[in-house]
Amino acid sequence: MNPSDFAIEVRDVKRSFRSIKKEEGLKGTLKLLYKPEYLTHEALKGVSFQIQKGEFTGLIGANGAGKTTLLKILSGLIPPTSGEAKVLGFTPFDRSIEFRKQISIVMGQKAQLWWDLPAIEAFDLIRALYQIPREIYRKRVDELTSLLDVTKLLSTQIRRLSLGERMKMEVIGAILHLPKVIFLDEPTIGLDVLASKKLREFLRAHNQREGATIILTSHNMDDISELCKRVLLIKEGSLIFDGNPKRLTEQDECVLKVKLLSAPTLTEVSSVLSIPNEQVSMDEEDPTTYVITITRSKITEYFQKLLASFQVADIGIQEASLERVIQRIYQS
Amino acid sequence: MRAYWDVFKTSLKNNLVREFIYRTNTIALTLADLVWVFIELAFFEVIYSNTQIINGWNREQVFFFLGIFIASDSLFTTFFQRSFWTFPFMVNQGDLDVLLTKPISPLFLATFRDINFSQILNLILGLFILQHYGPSAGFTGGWNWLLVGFWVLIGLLTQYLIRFFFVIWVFWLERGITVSRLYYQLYALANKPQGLYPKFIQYLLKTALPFAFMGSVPAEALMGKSTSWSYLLVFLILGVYALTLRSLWRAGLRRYQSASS
Amino acid sequence: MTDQALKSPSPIRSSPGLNWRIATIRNGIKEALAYRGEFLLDIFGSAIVPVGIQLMLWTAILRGDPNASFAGMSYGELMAYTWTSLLFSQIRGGDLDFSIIEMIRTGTLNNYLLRPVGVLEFVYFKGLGEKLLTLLFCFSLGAIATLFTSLSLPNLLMAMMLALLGNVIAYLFGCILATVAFYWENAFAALMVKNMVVALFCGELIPLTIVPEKYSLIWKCTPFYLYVFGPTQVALGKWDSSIWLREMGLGVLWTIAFLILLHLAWKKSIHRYQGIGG
Repeated sequence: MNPSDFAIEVRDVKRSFRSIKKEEGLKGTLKLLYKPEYLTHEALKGVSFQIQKGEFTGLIGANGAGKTTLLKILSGLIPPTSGEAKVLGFTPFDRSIEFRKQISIVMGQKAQLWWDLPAIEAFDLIRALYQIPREIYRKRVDELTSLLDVTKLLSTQIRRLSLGERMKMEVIGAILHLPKVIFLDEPTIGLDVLASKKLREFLRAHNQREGATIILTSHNMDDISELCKRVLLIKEGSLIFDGNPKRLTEQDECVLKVKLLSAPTLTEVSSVLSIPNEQVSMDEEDPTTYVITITRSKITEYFQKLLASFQVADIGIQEASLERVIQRIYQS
Repeated sequence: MRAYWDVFKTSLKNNLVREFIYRTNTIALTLADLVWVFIELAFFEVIYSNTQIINGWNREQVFFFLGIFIASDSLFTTFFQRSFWTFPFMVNQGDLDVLLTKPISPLFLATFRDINFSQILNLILGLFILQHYGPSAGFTGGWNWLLVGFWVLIGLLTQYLIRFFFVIWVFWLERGITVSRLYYQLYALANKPQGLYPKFIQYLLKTALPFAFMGSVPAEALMGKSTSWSYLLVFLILGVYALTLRSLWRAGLRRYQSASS
Repeated sequence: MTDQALKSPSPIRSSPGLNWRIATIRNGIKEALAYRGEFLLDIFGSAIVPVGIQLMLWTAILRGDPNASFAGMSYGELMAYTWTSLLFSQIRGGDLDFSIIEMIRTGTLNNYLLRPVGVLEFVYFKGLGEKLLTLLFCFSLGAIATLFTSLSLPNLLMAMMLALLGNVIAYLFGCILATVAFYWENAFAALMVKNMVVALFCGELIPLTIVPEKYSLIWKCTPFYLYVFGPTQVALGKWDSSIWLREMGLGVLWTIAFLILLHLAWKKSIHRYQGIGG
């Protein structure tokens, strides 16, 4: 593949932080003056990957895993301690004007639009910042706001909008200049199901139409599984999975839904299959159906055991949810 | 460059919109600022009701000084005061991030964010005081009004630089807000003519802490009390200040970025 | 009065007992000590700078001539006034009223209204720790000064009492103005104006005796002179114990009047807040 097809290239990027250790009390304070002790925290321990232009990539990991640090390096806010990151061929931390014009970052926890102003005025400032020609700007605002159903709210003060409406405005503000690379840090945080769904549809459409490269971090696995064909999973500063999220769910684990007529106890079921108790539970809607989490490779073995011990009325196989898989990876 | 002008214009308009949304607040602040001017004048009125002349400054000259000080101070308050006040919070809470990703100087964005129109009346009031006390203070008027414009801008630039100097430490200090507050306390040195101070303090106010450029030096120049050397001094000192701040700002950004997680 | 008004918790009255008050004061002292660098820097900035400016101003006016006088005060007297007023100028104020309007504006007041403690009293005691520390600091300074100046310990004690009373009055007045915040999104303009007027009329910038006779009624009609000017006069022995007693009495009257006013203002406006806050 031609290297210019990559929007983002990251080679062995490391990042560590040093902070001063402060002990309690007056003695601790005095100690800071003559013998400060430093704590070094490695937020990223050598991460490498490449992302093609137009890809929609998910970046996941537990709190403190290093996601935000990586986003900050890619958007040029902080330099890596070592290694190399390239975005659209630029070194992000040089923060050249050309680079800044082509990227955008949305932070779900941080409002960028000015609270006391109506969105339309806040957008106007963005127009000025990126020097978007007025004609194009007007057309784009119309288009984007109608796609997200917020056209009527354009002249309402941002602070009077609901969280979902505000986030929609934030996203519009971030893509008004049609950035080639967009970093979305928790854009759906705190949003209700409907609002996140709408935002997801919008983001997918935007990605397909404009071909922008998007990196999304989210704790909402619906975001990831619906939007991203590729996911980067970070744990404690290292990249531990890079690929299609389907591969994660297909990998090892699946869920059996079994309807048993003899109504055995949960312990009986788990002892017949010789698996831990926690892996068996009752279906919430149907008290004769058992939900069993098992390893995919041993599926025939379990089938045989179940058929031998109980009267089986029905068996179904489900994929494990991404949520559950990720949870297990975090915990292990 | 066009982008900067465009951003400035839009920011001006947006702030005006905000002032209209919170118009009662704007009116209240305008009144508060008028009271401030009144207190400044009342203080010297009380002093001069007991004496004729202080270190060569008579009442009219001091009021003329207040006129130029109030005019340039009102410009500073209009364009920069609030942005500088919120700057430490912005750094501490990491909100500077947002500005750093925009294709315009983050310093420009950080200092031109919050414009406050409640002070415009003070500018007019300051100029009115100048006009009223000018003749008796030795200001000849006419073309010299152009010089008033020049010195008001110098006063504005001076306050910008000193204020910036007191706020920049927030990058290094955990509770940098205290240093920022110290500025307001030292500011009391600026709103009195430097002639009142001992020689050493006068020297200090024209070099390390050039508060004198906000009112005293301009007033002396306009009243024909100073030589052309003062122009040179002003440019020299402000130049040094600006250069120092530029490197401090860069070092501060580096520090901010290395501390950020 | 409506039933609802009777039931709503009073923002001023608190559950009896001293425990929470002592604990609150202790926390305040601890916090001030934890940031002592800042504490000292603040005292330096807010006390030394204005005093320094005044000293320079008086020197400039009288050119250091010990025999000259300004508004009936000799150079020595002006100097003594300025230095002594320093002992009280740090006790008078605080930005507690600003934190109350901030609580009203942001809605954090709700958290306090639910506690069995009057919010205004709580805020006062929270700030009191630091003030007491300052008072102790200033009193020690004054006590040391008695060794080699004409300042006397009894006078100093009386003056401190007056200053503390002034501090209570200042807070109550601030709280009354803070109720504006219930009606008005941004009430700090009112507090700013108050602070500017107080700064001029409390005697911290100038001894009030130099205010021309025709304007003197202005400061005499406010309680502000009890904050700094009054205590300074007592400490310098310009006001004898009978005047001190009279001014203390006046101070108590101001306190009572402000308490009543505060009760009325707060009672009336808190309903508006609860109406909005839901």
